Parts: sequence; structure tokens; C-alpha cells
Amino acid sequence: MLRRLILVAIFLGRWGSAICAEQPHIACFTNYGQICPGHNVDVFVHCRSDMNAAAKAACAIRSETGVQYFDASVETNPNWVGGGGYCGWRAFKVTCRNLPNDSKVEWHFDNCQGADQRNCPRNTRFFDCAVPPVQIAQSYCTKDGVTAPYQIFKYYDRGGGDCGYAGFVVGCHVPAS
Amino acid sequence: MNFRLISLLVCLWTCCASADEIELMLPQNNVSTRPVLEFRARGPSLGNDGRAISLTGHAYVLLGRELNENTLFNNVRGFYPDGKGAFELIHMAYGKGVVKQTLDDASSEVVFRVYLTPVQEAAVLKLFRSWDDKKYSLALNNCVDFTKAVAQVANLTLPHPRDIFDMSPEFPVSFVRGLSQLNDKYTPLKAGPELSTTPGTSVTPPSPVRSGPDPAEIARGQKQLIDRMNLPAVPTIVTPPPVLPPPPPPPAIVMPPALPPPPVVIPRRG
Repeated sequence: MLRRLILVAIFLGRWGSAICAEQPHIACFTNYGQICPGHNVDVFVHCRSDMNAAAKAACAIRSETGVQYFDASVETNPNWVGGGGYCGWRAFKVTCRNLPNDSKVEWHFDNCQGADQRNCPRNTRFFDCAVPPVQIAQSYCTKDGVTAPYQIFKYYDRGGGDCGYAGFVVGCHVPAS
Repeated sequence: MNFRLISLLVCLWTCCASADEIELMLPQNNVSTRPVLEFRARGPSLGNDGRAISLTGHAYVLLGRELNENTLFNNVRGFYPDGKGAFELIHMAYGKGVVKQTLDDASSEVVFRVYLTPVQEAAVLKLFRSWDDKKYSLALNNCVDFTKAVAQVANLTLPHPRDIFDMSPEFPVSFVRGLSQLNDKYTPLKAGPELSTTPGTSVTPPSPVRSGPDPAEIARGQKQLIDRMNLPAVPTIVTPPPVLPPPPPPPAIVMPPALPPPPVVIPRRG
């Protein structure tokens, strides 16, 4: 009995190591990010954008040397639709598949970029509007002179002021061990 | 009149600028690239082949990104004794080492390539920097040891001596050749579709640009040709897809509760 359990454990261990990681996100299509309900939403996309392009951008791992796009699937939910504003809102689930399983992701939410910090309602860190998104990611993911691979996407966006303002979610891929 | 025109232009700009902005705001968003690592080695040279004199040969690595049709190498790195002339000779015994590239790195006798994950790529970059401070010693810490360290970061199997008299893993060309033989299952295919790789290597990304002609286009062209020549249609042989093992159960995904309709917010523009 014990030997069988050990064999099963070994099998599961091998099987588990061969499974590539999946990563779920809740994305929301709307005109302005603040209409998207709840804090489960971590990817905001303008309602005129392409759903697959948004999923592709969310499931891209970037580094100093390039970007690698991974498989992304989208799943809509008829209950996740609401009215209001310019085009209402429509949430959907994005699942990134076949991500490498040698890293764990450290997420950093609520990075706000804009002309005026008061316009950033959820931010914990504020960046000037001249700061490119890549620099925002690097400010989180660089350690000992090496920038870890990262995912970055916008969850909030609004016009106004000198450059409007936008929120970013940054995920740093650090080695799993 | 002017106010109307400006309002219309602003409206058009807002609508057009918003489309696909999530893609446009991020750099390097055109082509999916894969981190790739190449091990190379060359044998000893007496200087009569245009290369610098080297009695040991050299092992080094190239780190880059594989694009759709070519590879872009950002780093060519090998471990050398620092200095020139007498200093280099002294440092060869034991002294300051440096990770650098030389002109001779353009030619190599053995090449072995593997894919990396983005995390492994970052680890290799970090290793390049950390070896810049290490001491060089031809006997204890040389270019082959540097290449071994890179191979370990890439989770490759290292060649070991068969017995106490086997020195082949200590020489650049035989080391890279041994590395290639032990890990050839990770080597990308030269042509044809990419196969799925092991957990240690990166996974196949969706290719944004299809390479080669479209099969549907070929079939259509063949049909037109047959119609024109009044030939009997050739039956199409359809190869059944290979039977794959059942996929593992997906991880539990916590779905958010049904979202309540949000309050209607009239966005203010500052």
C-alpha cells in the first residue's frame, strides 16, 4: 500500500512538473476604467479595443531583450455586462496558458501615472506622465542590476489634464525556487 | 464653426486613439521572440588561420532572441584572463578574469543551441555580470567552467568524465560536443513545425506571422488547376491527429461573484 502511494506521489510529482502554468485575469471593456465594477478586474481595456489583442497583451512576458507572447484564451460571461457611460461595461475572463513554470509572479497593483496625483484614486505609487510603462515595470522588477521578466498591463485609463492618467499592473517573474 | 470643427476632431482623435491602445502603449509589441542560448567552441590555433594564437581553444556562449526568421544575439560572452601581453600570461595562471567578446568569436567549430525561459534568460544575464569579478585560472577556473555555469543555469545535463583518465569534458570543443549529445532533445529543429519542449525550456508561443504558404491556399490553387485541366480530382488523404493523453485537470479558478450593475458615472474631464 505504502509503495503504491509512493509511486503515485512520484507520478504526480513528475506530472505536476510537466504542467505549464496557467494564469487567470478578469478584464473589463468600457470607456473609462472607473465604471468597471469590483477590484477583481485587473485588466482594463477600452471598449473599442479588440478583445483578443487585450488578452494577447496581458499574456506577454517582457524583458530587457524582447517580448514573448503566450497562448491566451478569452471567455465571456453574459452576466458580466452592464450599462452606463459611453459604452457600458463588459467583463470577461482571460486565461494565459503554457506559461513557463519556473517562476512565481509578484504582482504590483495600483501604479498610477498622470498629470495630477489627486486624480489617481487607487494608487500607492505615482509616476509622472512622462514615465514610459516599461520604466514603471523596471522600477519594481529590477534587483541587483538585473531586471526580472515582467508582465505589464493597464487597468485604468482616463483622459484629462496634460496627459490623462492611467493605472498599471506589473507582475515580476522571479525564480520559483 | 471653428469650435464645431475642433470638437469633431477631438472626438475623432479620442475614438481612434483608444483603439488597440493597450498594444500601442507597450514597446516591442510586433513580434513574439523566444530567448535562445547558443554554446560554441573552437579548437587550438597557431595563428596561421587568421585567428589569435591559442593553445587551448575557447568555449563561449551567445544569448539572444529568436525572431520569426532569424536570431538576434544581444550578448556574446566568454571568460578570459584580463589584461594584455605579460599581464594576460600572469593572469592566465591565476589573476583577474573578465567576461568579454573577441573578434575570433565569429568562428566556431561546434554550435549547440537551446531555448530558455525568460526567467532563465535573466539568470544567464546575471551570471555574465557576476563572473566579471571572478578570478581566472587556466587550471581551476577557465572558459569551460564559465560555460558549465551557464549550462547549469539553463538546467542542462553536464558531460562528466567516463573515468579518472578521461579529460574530454575539460577541453572546449569536446565539452560543447558532449553537452550537445547529452541535451540534443532540447535543440530546436532546423526546419518544420516546432515540437513541444520540456519544462526546462520555453514553451511554444503563438506565432504572430505564419511561416510558409497557407495550406488552404494551396488546396484552392490545386483545385483550380484540376478544374482547368479537366482532370479527375485527387482524393485528399487526411492524417488523423495523434492520440494525445488526456490533459491534466485545470487548476481551480475562483470566479468572482455575479457583478452588480454599476452606478452610472458621468466621467469628468479635467
